[in-house]
Amino acid sequence: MNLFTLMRIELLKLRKSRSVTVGLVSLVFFVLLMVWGFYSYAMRQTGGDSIFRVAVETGYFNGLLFSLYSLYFAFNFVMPVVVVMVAGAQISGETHSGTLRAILSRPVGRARLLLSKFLVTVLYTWLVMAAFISFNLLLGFFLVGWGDLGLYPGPLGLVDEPGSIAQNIALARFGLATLSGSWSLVTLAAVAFFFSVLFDTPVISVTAAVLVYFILTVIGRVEFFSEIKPYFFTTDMDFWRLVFKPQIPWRELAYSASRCGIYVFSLLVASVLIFERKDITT
Amino acid sequence: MRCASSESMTSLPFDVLLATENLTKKFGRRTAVDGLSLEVHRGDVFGFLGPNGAGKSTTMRMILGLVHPTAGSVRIGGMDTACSRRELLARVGAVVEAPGFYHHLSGWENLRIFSALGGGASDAQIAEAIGVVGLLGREHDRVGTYSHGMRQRLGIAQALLPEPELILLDEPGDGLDPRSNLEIRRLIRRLADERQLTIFLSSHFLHEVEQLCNRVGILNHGRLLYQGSVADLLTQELHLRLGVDRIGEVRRFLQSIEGVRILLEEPRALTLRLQAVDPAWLNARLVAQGFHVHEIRTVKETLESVFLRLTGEEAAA
Repeated sequence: MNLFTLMRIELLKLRKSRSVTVGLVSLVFFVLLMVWGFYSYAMRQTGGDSIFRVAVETGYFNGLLFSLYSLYFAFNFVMPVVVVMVAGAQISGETHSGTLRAILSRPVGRARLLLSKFLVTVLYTWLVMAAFISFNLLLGFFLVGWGDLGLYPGPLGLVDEPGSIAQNIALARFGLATLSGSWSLVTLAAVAFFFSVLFDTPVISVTAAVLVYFILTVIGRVEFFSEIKPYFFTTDMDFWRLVFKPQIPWRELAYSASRCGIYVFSLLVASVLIFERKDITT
Repeated sequence: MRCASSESMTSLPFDVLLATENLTKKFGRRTAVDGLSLEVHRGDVFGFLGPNGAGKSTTMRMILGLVHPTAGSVRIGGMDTACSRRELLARVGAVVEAPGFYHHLSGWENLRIFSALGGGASDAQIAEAIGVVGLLGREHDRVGTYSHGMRQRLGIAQALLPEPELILLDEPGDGLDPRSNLEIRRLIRRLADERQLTIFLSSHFLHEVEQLCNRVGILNHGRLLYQGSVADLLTQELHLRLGVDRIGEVRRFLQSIEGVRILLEEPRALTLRLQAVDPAWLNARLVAQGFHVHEIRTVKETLESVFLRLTGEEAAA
């Protein structure tokens, strides 16, 4: 059984999975709430005479800035859950439903099965990221149009002074963000995947991964814990935003991306070692 | 589990399709399977009997490589599964405990997936397997809408794909109503008769095994108590039903005779187990003692009584 065939089977299962549907619906719901939120903010700021455009400090919202904010908020709170829901159920879901013993009763290598599942999870993460960014950009374009991407000091933490990125370059940066963002999320997916091998029920593995992510994210944001922050994988995951800096700090980006890669590789190797030795007793 | 070299393994007769040698599994300090050596011959419908927790499922899981043995080996067609697991599993179909399926996919899609994992099956082969288990017309419905019996039959269809020599079925009648259970039994019998498949069947339904199997293995507390033909097992011991008066005195008298054991006492009859004791000789002794024997006949043991006797004896020991 070659890896490609296994991946095709995994994709078929994933395509019809309810977790994927729930995840995608929740992302669409999130974007629609963001639109509603921005719209009501604009109405309030302009006394009701604006449809959507509104001054934000010194610049204006447009479809690109809307997409960036939507991506930023989704990335911190929604995307991790959407990815973990799938990654954390890859093995534990099969164990829980009894399909893992049916699969492994077939002439399938355990390491190969694990690898195929992980590669499909990576592909899924990239697709979710790409679809989310595309959806935001298109929605932003149809609602308010594009333009240069305005950057302001604030929650994004990208600039100290207001600035902007030209529209075409900004669109390319969104393209880059699909890669940096999905690579960053794959780190969390690897954590969830590891728990999925460790535990026999998807609820536990998904919850464990979400808890680890949120605990480390919260602790990492506390100023006086800055000494321990560099040891958290969540700190490195933040590198995805660097592609939206006016000048991309490639060295810093490569450093964090490599550290994420090391986390992913280590977790994957640990997952394979555990899975190879695991007795399937459920 | 280390792969045993071919030199270190004893050779097996060609007709032995599945063999375990000193197979052992320990979970921590608990020994689930203890030095199990079994042989399943080609064409056998082999019943693997044992009470709950005897180690049947663990044994099946070790055969399939789901559970790693602590010691011992499993051979299929003479080859060690630790050396050629994937190659050997391509020749095996299995349903371990309740068949696991993707409930959000149809029966057809599930069979397509599981057969692909085993090397792939054509649409015609899938349709044939569905026909054999009697699920035609429902194959495109989601498995989530299937009854327990239908899932069990789909499990057997899955085990039939693509073309196994050996089928392992773990408690196939478990949780089924009597009609579904009967259908599954007929299906297994048909598969053995028409396709000449070797079937290894674990169960604690003794009448099911008695009707289906030509050979059995009886397991208790992880240890093998018996393996051999069902016919041999049922004629191993002579049981005698004795109709007598003065039952108390007869009981006391019989207890003094070596090789006689009272299995059941009724108001005017006793059921005895005889070992190396001739019924005619026993009858003569009773008559000589002045007892009135109004009935004497041999009683055929059932698999259930043998099973209870063997597992009971072990518990007593």
